[in-house]
Amino acid sequence: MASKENSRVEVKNVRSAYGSLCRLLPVISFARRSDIDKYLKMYNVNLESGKFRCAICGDVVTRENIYALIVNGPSIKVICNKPSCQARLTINTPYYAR
Amino acid sequence: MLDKILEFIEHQLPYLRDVISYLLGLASLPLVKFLWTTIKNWFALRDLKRLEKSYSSVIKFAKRNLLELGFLVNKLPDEIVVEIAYKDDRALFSKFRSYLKKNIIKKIKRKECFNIIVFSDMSYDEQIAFIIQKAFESIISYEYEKVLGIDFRESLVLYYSYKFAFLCEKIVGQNVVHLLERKFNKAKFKDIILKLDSKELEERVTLNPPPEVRPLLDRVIIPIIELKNNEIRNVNDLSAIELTRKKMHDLLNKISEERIGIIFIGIKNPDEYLHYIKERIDEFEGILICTRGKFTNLCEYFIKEIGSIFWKELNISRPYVEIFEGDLPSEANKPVHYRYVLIFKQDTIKTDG
Repeated sequence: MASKENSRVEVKNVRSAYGSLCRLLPVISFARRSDIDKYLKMYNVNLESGKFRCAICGDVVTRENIYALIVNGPSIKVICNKPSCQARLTINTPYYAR
Repeated sequence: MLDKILEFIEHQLPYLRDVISYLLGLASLPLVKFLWTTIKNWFALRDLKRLEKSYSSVIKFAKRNLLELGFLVNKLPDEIVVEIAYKDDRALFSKFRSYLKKNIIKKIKRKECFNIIVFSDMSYDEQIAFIIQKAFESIISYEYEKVLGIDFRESLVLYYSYKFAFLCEKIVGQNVVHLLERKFNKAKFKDIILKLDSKELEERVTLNPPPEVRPLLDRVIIPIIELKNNEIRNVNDLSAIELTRKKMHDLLNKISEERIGIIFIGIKNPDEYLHYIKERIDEFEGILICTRGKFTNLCEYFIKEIGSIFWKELNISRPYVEIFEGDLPSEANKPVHYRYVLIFKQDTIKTDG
């Protein structure tokens, strides 16, 4: 019974995620690694605090291992530079990232 | 008095002319600078537009070629905005344009914008390749996690990226094609995917008489993967997922090795199709029956008939049968019922039980 309920919730989530996905417009910026500080300052992200974890693998992200920054209104997500996490960064990442 | 003034002006005219030309010269400096900046911005705009055009072309390409994935493609954003990019050592940005675009889209199309800032010292061509690859990853990679292994998914993404770049070389440029080609050459399942997308394989394994022109990858493989994926979308049992991946890999391998014959059922008399199957059944270890729409009802008849052929000619009493069934969107985005039936002489493709 419980598993049935879980599956229902999941289907609903997948559909709702796709439903809202088409209403999104990704704005992509390719930044040089030397510009990291500029962007971190712009979005007020303090990686030194150790509070920011990779939205995919959950590891602590620092200035040295940051790969991408996803800013969706007030929510800010960071992705680390592990090859597996780099590969999982897609246009629909905001809906798949934890 | 007037005469005196005119005489003075006439006397001073050469000097005045010098002053005016000097002032004009001074004024033209910012004008030249403005023109130079405009030309530079125009080039920057053109380059940024090329990145955006690559993405929207991927979506168009996917809509055209991956018809059965219409559901996925339609749900993806049909455009992106590239705010900042780098070309050689130049930074390309047009904040005014992106500000305008974002606001217009937000107000008129009611869309939400979100920023992705990628920190990596990529070249301009690598940036285009990145956008193409990420678009295909959004369509293919995440969706088929439970049906295909990571290496196969990666190979599939790289293949479609390379194929797209190859076909749209005018948009993306030759360097991007080479870049994606090099990446695809390193893909683990390169050979299987190339075979599945070849017309030669399609000609050899399709039992229908020609002309059948669309390669099997877009026409049969992707729909089967999609149907299987829909079936096990809510399965969270790891062993079941691994088993499905293995079975799917075996099936793709067997099709690429020409061990499975494929027949498309259409408007002809069912006995005619049965005749095609009987004619070449000895060449293959199994038959894949592909039906859609109203023809799906004929599957039961073919399963029974092929079963009796196996029994009469090969003495196989219980062939392995697997059905991939479900609705997929058609060209007009209306759901169409698909049913693919795999009938195998031996149970070499492991079953769940």
